[in-house]
Amino acid sequence: MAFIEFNNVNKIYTMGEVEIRALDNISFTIDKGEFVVVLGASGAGKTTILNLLGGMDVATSGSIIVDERNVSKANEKALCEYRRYDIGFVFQFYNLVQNLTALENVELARQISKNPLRAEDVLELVGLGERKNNFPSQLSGGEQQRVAIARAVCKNPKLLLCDEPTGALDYRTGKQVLKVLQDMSIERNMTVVMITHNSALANMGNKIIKVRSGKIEDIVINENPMKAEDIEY
Amino acid sequence: MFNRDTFRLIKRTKKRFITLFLMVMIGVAFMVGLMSTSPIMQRSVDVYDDQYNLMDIQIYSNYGFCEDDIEAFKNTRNVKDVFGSKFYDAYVFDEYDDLYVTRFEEIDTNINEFELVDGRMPENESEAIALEISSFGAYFKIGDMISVSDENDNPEDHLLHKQYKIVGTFKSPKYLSSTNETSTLDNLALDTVVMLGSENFVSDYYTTIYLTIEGADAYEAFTDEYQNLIDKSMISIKKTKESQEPYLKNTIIEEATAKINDGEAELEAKKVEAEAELAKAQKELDDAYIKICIGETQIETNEKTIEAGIKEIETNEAILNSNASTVNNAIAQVEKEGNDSFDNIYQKAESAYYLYISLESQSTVDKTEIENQNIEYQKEIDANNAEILKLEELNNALDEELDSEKIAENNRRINELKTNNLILEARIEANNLKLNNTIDSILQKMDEEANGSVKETYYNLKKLKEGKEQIDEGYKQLNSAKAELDAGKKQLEEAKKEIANGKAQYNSGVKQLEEAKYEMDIEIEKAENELAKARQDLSELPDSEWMILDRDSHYSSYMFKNSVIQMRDIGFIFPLLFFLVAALVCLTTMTRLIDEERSQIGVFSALGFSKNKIISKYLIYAGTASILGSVIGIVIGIALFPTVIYSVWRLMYDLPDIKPYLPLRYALVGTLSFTSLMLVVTYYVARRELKEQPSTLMRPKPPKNAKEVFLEKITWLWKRLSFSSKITARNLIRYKSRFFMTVIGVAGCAGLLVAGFGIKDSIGDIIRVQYGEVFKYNNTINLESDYYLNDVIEKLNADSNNEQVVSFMDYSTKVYLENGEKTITVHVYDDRQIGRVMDLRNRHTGEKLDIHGDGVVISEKFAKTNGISVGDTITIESKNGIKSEVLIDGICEIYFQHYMFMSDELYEESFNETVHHDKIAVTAIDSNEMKSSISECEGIVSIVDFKPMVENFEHMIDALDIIILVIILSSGSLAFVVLMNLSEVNISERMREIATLKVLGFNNREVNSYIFKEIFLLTIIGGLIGMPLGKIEHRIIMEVINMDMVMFGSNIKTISYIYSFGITIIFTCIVLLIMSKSLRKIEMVESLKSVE
Repeated sequence: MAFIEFNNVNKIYTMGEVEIRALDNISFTIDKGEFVVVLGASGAGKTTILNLLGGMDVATSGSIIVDERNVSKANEKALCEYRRYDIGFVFQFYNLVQNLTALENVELARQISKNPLRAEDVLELVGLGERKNNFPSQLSGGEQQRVAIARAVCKNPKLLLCDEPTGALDYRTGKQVLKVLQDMSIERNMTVVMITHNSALANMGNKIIKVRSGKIEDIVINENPMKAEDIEY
Repeated sequence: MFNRDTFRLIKRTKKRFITLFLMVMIGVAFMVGLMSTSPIMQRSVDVYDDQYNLMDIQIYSNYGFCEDDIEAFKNTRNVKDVFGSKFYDAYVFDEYDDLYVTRFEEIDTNINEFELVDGRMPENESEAIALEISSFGAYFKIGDMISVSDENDNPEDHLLHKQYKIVGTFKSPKYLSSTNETSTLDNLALDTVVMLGSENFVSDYYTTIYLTIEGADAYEAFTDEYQNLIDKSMISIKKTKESQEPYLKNTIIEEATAKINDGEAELEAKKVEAEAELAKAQKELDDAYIKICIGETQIETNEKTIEAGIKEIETNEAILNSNASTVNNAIAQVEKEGNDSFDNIYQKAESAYYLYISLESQSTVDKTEIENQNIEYQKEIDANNAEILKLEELNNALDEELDSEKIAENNRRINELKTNNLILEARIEANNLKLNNTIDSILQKMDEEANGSVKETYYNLKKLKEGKEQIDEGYKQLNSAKAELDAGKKQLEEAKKEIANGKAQYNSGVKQLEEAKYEMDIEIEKAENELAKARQDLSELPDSEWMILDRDSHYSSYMFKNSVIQMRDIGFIFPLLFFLVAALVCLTTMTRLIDEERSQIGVFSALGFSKNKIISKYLIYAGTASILGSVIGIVIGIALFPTVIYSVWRLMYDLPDIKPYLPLRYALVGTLSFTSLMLVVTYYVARRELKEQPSTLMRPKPPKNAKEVFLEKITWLWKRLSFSSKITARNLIRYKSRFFMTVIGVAGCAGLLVAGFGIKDSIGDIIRVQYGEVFKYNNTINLESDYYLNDVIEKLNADSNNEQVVSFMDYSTKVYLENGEKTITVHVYDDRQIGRVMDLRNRHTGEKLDIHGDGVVISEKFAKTNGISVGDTITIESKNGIKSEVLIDGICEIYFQHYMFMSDELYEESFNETVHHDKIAVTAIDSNEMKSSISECEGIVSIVDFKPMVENFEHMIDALDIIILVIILSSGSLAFVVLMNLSEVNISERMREIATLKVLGFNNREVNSYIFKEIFLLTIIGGLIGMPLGKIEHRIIMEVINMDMVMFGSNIKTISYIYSFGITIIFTCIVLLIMSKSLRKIEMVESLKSVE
């Protein structure tokens, strides 16, 4: 049994009279330790997948199993626990708490985890051991995103979800961030799901899920993922 | 198009718009409401004043007023109406023998009219109506009989009757204040007023004149315009005063001078008359004196004659006496001789008798023997005679000188012999007798012998008796002469007596005359002095002085005017708080609004809209909220605050019904100040934003830099703080305007609550504390005098219902202070007993006070208002008016009225007067039982039970609950607006953060605490600051409603602070509860959105 299973998942948003089918009968699986890239244009439904996977929303129908747990059927409280203990989330716009230093932002996440990693270690891991006492406004975008990754990783989640992590970054810093993510997957055998519209990044994933108009266009298994350093976009 | 955008903005940001609207509404309601209270109070009373034609000016004079004065005022410029009135202040008993200082006034008046509240108007001269004092209830009620006390000086000179029946009650703008004006009685405060028909006032002159001023009705009382008019009209009134002031005095002087002159003339006439009378008396005395002198001369002559007479009589008497003694001697001789011869005869008879006897027995005797015997005897006799002869011859022969001894011896022998002879002869005789034998012969012999001697004696005697008769005749003559002389003497004595009498009479006459003269002199002098004094008094009469008093000197108006001014101050102080909070709310709200609109502003700016055009959108936004808020605020403010506050002032004044109106000025001030405030703040915020280039504007605003806060320096503490606490701490520092807005808003809310509860604490408890804790007794028994004291106390002590019974003396004294005379009630106790019924204590330190020392204890309010402190000395009077200084030994907690406590010893020492306890303080378990138990006792004037008074007051205090409710509502709404605004801004600003936290797996509770910790902390800070703030507000309010006789507690109970703080927290919690719902609504997807 796969680590993550999407079985015939539908998601329909109702806006007044209009029904928008964001996900149309989607099914896929992800194994533990895989680095998965979900690729799609804007409005293709990749964010909806992320929302459902991240426990931020529930599916209209179908089942989502994460580590033998049916996330699609969970109530609000269970979803909250799911987010809390099982998920690490990296936002496109980092979403750091401006009022806390890098270290504190990481510790904020640690605080609610069952089995967290040491915050300093994680910051060291993302290469920000020296800047741990800086406030987000004192850090560059790449650095902020690395803090965000550290915040997600230190929770020691089962699944690391990344929403366009390089979307707000320039090329160089983007690559640094991607490397960190890849390292996490490889070195720590962490399952990582990264969402991006940039197909150039897709090559670094073990598995590439292409989404279009709420449907899965293609699932590509990449036996030789590229190293983050080598990716060019 | 642009305007439609504004409208959409309002619709979109409803919450913020409503926040602004509410803030302005509350602020304007407070400001306009409080500011309008003062003019509405003023208007209400002004209408009342005008309706009942309250005088504008009142005039008093030390001489009173006459018709002429009234006429003069009628002709004075600016004076609309004049009314001369009589009033009389007196001590009056009600039906329960309680004494009140009462003013009697004339009912018939066209100035100072009144409203008959209840009952009817008097229909005859023994009926009256009494002032209704709503806050304490009328002292005299319909149906009561009141009687003027005999304590008053000659009430009959002022009033027709001594008893009046109350048939109605009235209200008048002249008596607004429950703590009334001073009376003419020793500056005692008036307790109540009674109106009577004019016919009841019997004095000659008017006591006072009331004036109304032309056109004064048009101006509102207490305003400067009104005062200016009065001041202007004063000029002509003063002119009248100057010309008319001496009139009555002069009239009085003229009348008095005429009287004095009459008196002097009369005295002169009497003097002349008296002198004539005295002269007549003198002459009579002189005549009498001459008569006495003549009498005395006569008496002297007569005395001399009598003296001569006496001498003659004395001579004659002496002769007569010598003659008489001669005759008497002779008579005595004769008598003696008579007696001798009688004796002789007797002896002879006796011998004859014996002889007879012997003869009878010796009839047998021998005649011869006898004869022999006789011869013998004769022989012997013869021998004897021979011897005698011989001896005599011898004697003759003998020289008489040489042989005297021999002669003497011979003579003796002769005598012896002669005796023998006699004996012998007798024997012979006897024998002869024997021999004679017959008794008859003897008797015959005896007869013959006796007759011979009687005859002789008779002749002698006859001769002598005749001599004696002559002498007696002489004596008789002498005696008659003597009697004559005595009569003369007697007459003379009488004459002398008469003369003496006459003399005495004369002397007393002289004395009387002198006395009469003296007396007359004294009387004349006295009369002269009196007249002189009268003249002097007249010359020394004080100048006639008129006091012209406008309404500023009219106690009720003045007090109320002050209250109006104080109210105005409050009306300006309190809205300041709201003004400040409104500015801050506007600042945060608009800042946030414009922050959110940032990109749009950039777009408009880039599109080429002018800055002003863009700013105008926000100005319209804020302006609309402000004007809407103002309008609603004015309506609420005017409807709420004046009514509520007026109802509280009614506790202190007997006010007419409120006449609410909208003072446009204040409505405008309120609207304009708040609206312009909002606009200015909005303009400032928008302007600040628009300084940036459009391109910058279209990019997201860089988040405000976080800073390390000072707390981080304290590492050990900082480490222990949770992240939310750290965020809170950093946020507090980061957004200062929000911090201040919230803290000030919450502090204002808490402060208002503290002030509100504090008012109730301060006013609500004073009577209970005073009559429950300080005065531990609950009844005062007033006795006629201390004569009855022991009986009543004994009776009271016998009943276990009475827990404490202590007597004391109570009187009211003047206190002489630098700033004038004040009145205080003195209680004089036995210093060992006072503790049983009084708990004298210092309010601040709680220290127990006693009166053992050499000083007195006075009540706090009196000490405070007059700047007296412990160790000072003040001059007071004894019950009988003797002045003395006393030392202040303590200042005690007493709220209602001014008291001084002193010991019996100190009183006696200070004034040298004895203390007479005529009151008894009784702590009775059941007051009614106590009253009925001593109903039989003599000498009880009245019994005052504190309980009804306390109940009455507490009932009044309940009205304060309305104020507290209004304060809770106002402060609650303030807290709501501020807290809602704060949390709304906080949440909208941190939407992304919150969504992120949710994504990170924070549950609702954790998210709430993350956001609300900050609000909660601010609430607590604000609440804490609100406590002292409330204390200050409370003090301001208490100073405004300060009363002379009452000390309101300045303490606020701890529980009130707790309530206030608690209610503030509850308000916060309610707001947070509402906000937590919107927190829950925040979608996690927000976190994925790009930064706008």
